[in-house]
Amino acid sequence: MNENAKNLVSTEEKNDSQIRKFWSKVVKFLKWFKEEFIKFPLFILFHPLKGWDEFKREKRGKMSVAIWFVIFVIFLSIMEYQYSGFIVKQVEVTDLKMLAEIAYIIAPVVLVTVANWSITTLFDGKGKMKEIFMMICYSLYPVAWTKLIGLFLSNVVSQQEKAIYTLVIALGIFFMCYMAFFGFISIHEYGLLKCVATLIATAVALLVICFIGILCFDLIQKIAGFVYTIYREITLRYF
Amino acid sequence: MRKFKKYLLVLVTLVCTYATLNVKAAYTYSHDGKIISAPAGYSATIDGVYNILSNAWGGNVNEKEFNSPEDLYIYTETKTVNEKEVKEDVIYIVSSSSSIDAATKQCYNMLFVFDGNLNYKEKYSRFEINPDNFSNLELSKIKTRVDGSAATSAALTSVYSYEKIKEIKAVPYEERTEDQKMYLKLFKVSGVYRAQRAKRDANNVIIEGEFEDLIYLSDTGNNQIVIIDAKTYEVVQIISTPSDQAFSEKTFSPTKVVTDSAGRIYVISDGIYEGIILLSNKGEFMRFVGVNYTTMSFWDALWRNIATEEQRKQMTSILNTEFKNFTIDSQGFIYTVSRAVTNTETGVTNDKAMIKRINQAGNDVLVRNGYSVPKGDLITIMTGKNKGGSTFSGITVNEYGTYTVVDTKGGRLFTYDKEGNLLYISGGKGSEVTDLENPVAVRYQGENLLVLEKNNRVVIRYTPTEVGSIINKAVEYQAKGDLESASEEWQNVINQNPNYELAYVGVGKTYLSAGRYQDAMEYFKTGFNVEYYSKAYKLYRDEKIKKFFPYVMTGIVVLVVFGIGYKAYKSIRYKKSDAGFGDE
Repeated sequence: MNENAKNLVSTEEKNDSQIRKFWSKVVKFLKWFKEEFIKFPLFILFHPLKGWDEFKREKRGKMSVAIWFVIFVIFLSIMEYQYSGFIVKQVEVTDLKMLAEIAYIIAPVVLVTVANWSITTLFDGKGKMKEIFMMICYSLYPVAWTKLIGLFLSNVVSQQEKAIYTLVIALGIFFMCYMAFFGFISIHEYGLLKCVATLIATAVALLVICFIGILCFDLIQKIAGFVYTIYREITLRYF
Repeated sequence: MRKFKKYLLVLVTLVCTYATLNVKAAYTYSHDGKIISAPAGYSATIDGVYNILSNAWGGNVNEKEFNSPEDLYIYTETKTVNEKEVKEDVIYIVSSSSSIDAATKQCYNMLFVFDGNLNYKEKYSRFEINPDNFSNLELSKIKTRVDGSAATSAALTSVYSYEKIKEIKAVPYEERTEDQKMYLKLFKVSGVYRAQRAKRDANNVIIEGEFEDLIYLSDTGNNQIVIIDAKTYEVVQIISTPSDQAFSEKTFSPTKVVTDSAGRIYVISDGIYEGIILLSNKGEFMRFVGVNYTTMSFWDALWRNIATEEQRKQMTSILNTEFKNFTIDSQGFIYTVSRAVTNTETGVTNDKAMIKRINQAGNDVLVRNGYSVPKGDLITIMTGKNKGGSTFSGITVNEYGTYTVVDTKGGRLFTYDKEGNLLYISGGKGSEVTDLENPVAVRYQGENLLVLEKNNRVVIRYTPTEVGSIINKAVEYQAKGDLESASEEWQNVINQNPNYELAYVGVGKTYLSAGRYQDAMEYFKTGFNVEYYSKAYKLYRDEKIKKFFPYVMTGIVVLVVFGIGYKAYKSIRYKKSDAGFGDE
């Protein structure tokens, strides 16, 4: 065997091992994806108390995954503008406001997190803010699936069968609430009644936050207006 | 060269100004209620304007007589000339006044008669009453205008006393002098209508084959409907305030009248909020028709329930709006226009039922399948004098169900087809003679529209524009069920105005019936019609399923068979190996 041939074999071996390494990485990623993105959220959905317990105690919930769920939902709601069937949605792509679509998903998530955290810290809740946020993001899991299914369904239903599409979307929201409710119970280690009580309080807190937000906005606007008037007065008088 | 340039510049500016002067912002509404530019369906030229100065009226109508035109009605007379049936239009216009003119000491309430081309024929300021045809009780109910220092309404028997009437009755009709003739003068006349009705004998039984040709005048100021003969202009019948409990505390001031084929009389009266008054041919009250209900929201109802009796009294009473104008089509459906209903407590306005189509049973059966509910302008001014939605003052319907309403707020004509689709918007306010400042009546005359303008005191003939006439043809074909011809016309509309969404639906319908489902789907999508898109899509899907079902089903069967076979094979092998090793 001459040198050249030896080299050739070695490079071949090298290439082969590189491909294998890459392949094993891909397989590993897919396994991780399946475990984190499909199996575990599904486990939570069907065994909510056990699932959320693992989520909290064994730290099986991951922030990256949680954020990805939010991104999925945002992505799908934007995709609905382009790919929804004409029978289900008569929206036009020109009406799409990307930032608004993002805000419609993120704002409620963040608001509920903050409101719930501020209530539960007063009511001996064991959950941290990060956990609450992750839990709400994980609860978006059924919505992401039903949105995807709905996107497909919307292209094959007729007007009479539109109810199927509506049912699927409604199921997604129902399961989201179901997951989130058990999430609140597990994460804060509450009883049923106390959980319901804190949720009502959360709703009130949500309103208060919105109210304060609008108030601040209005006041800032007024201050800006005031400053602008003073500026105008001065410019008109002296310049 | 420089001089030439100068002239060119002048020419260009002239052309430009001419163009800008002639361009009127014509628009329509898209499927999502946005304003899009579109050519108007009807337009008027100076040739279509008729007023006291025009040649057709020949100076027979003076300004005082035509002070405040209130209503216009077109009646098509069928005459037999040389054994041929000839149709001739007769146009009636009433003009009202409530004050005495200082110079002539007269109060002008006139009926003008024109022929189909608006050439002047006759005018009437008073109508003869032959006391022989009326009983004393009937005569006592009749009112007439008295021109004193101010115009007032008075009973006929106070103008002509019973003794005088007796005296007149004693003289044979032919021998009566002008002094002995009795006349009825209209007061604040506001409506005119003409129709035939079956003649009845003394027992109110219809005499077959004989008809009475009558003109109905709503004599608002005298609180009565005056029915006169269309040939002799002599008073035939008077309908005074109905003797029914419903009118015990209300004044009967009829503004508009129509009749149906049975001779029943439908009346709109000022200040009556219960609906249209339906009277028998004798003038007896039957019932209210087409009641304009105010809608009460859940919270209103709840609040009213909780409130005590005193609180309820303090709440402003909710009134139903009154009808503004109406018309009747050949099938006996009444088309009405009314104001939007505003709930005085919540301030919520319901403008969904400003236009109604009322059937014999008195229910609203207007089809509202268009992109939006027929209610005139969709986008309106929020503040100022002209705020709020359209306020309609007139409606007309043609023989294939297309109806046009006229809006006083924007001075526009909105035309809808019988499905409730907005076809086009025409007219508009402005300072030209052909503009509509305060239109009070609109009537179809064949394809043309006649609009009565109260402020400028003109009658304007609107003729269909190029696009307008094509759309009219398409709608007519569609109404007659000739989809193919309709589709061709709709295609022409698209060629003229590609933004005309309704036309795409029209073309799509033919594709749908021709079995070209995919094309139909595309057209329905462009025309934004979900219902028809769904129909086309369903058929398209069925077609595809029929095509591919055998293959897919075969595939599934093959797979199942293979699966079962594989399982059986495996179990046999397993059993074999099982047998080989044995149980532990």
